[in-house]
Amino acid sequence: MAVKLRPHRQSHRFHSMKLLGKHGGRKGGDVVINVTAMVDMMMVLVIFLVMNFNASGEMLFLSKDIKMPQAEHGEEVTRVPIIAISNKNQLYFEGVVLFDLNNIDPNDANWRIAELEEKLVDQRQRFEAIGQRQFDNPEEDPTTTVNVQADKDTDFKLLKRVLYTCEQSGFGRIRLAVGDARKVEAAGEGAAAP
Amino acid sequence: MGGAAAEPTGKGGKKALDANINLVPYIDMLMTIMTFLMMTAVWTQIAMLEVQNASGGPDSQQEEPDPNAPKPILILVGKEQVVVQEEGAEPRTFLATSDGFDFNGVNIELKRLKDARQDREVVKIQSEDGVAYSNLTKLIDLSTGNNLKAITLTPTGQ
Repeated sequence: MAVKLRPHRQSHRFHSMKLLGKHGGRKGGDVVINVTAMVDMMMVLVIFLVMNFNASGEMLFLSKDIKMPQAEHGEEVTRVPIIAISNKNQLYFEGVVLFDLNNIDPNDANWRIAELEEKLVDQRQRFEAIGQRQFDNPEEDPTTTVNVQADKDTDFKLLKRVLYTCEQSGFGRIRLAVGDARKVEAAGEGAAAP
Repeated sequence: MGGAAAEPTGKGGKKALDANINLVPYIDMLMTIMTFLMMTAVWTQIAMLEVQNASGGPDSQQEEPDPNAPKPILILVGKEQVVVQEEGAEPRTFLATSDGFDFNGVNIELKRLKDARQDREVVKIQSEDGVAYSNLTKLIDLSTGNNLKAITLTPTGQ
């Protein structure tokens, strides 16, 4: 960790550091930098990041327009089709805007959303074309299970139409996305610990 | 900086015992690990709450009901109140305040009904239009927390 000094042409700034003698005479040129504190800090950061590491990765499309409610007894996320409703009542399918739910007539007795139904049926046909696969856990079956991610203030008036369309399209197993309050609390306690 | 005992020279003379350990590769490795972990970190933790028969479509459980089976719990959610009852029994109403619904009261009632019949698992949540998604997920969360796992979510009147 030694810094080699050039024997000549040091800058004014270097001279102001007073590493050389009072009269500019030569002095030992090695400067030792104590890196212990830096290594300690990096170790703490690495340990924190490793503890928070999640191998399953990001499965849902997080957006600033979707603030999810918190829950304490949620289950693990599985990779199945994702339907999202933003706080501006935009309907997303797999991260792409599909439909503006503000255009729905609230008095319309038909709850089906044709655009969503078409996408869901198409999605199932794609999976079936790839080949039927047996899933040990039915929650992982992308032909019957769907993740619904909605903003916390979403009105049930809109949500019920989305849920109805999912069921009518054969996606009867519906999983509602929420923030995991247990992990948030654990992270908060970890950060607060000395 | 680390220190280690130096090898004896065999000449008997005194020599400094401090040995330098090169920390540069170690710091490089830590930096690489940190960069990787920071880039792959997932800061928002997400979980899922499962509901069955969520839209009021045809119920999958059309079998003849067992007279000895525990009756399901009904939760009727309105804009200003939550009503909890065992099917056919006296309902308990929890009025909303300025702070929102009385979820603590609902939780106590769900726990009481679960304790009365430990094999009870079915909860039917019926919601009016205008109820926020966060209130529904909270009720589903409370039901799941009380080990009531067969949850249906339907609009009122279904």
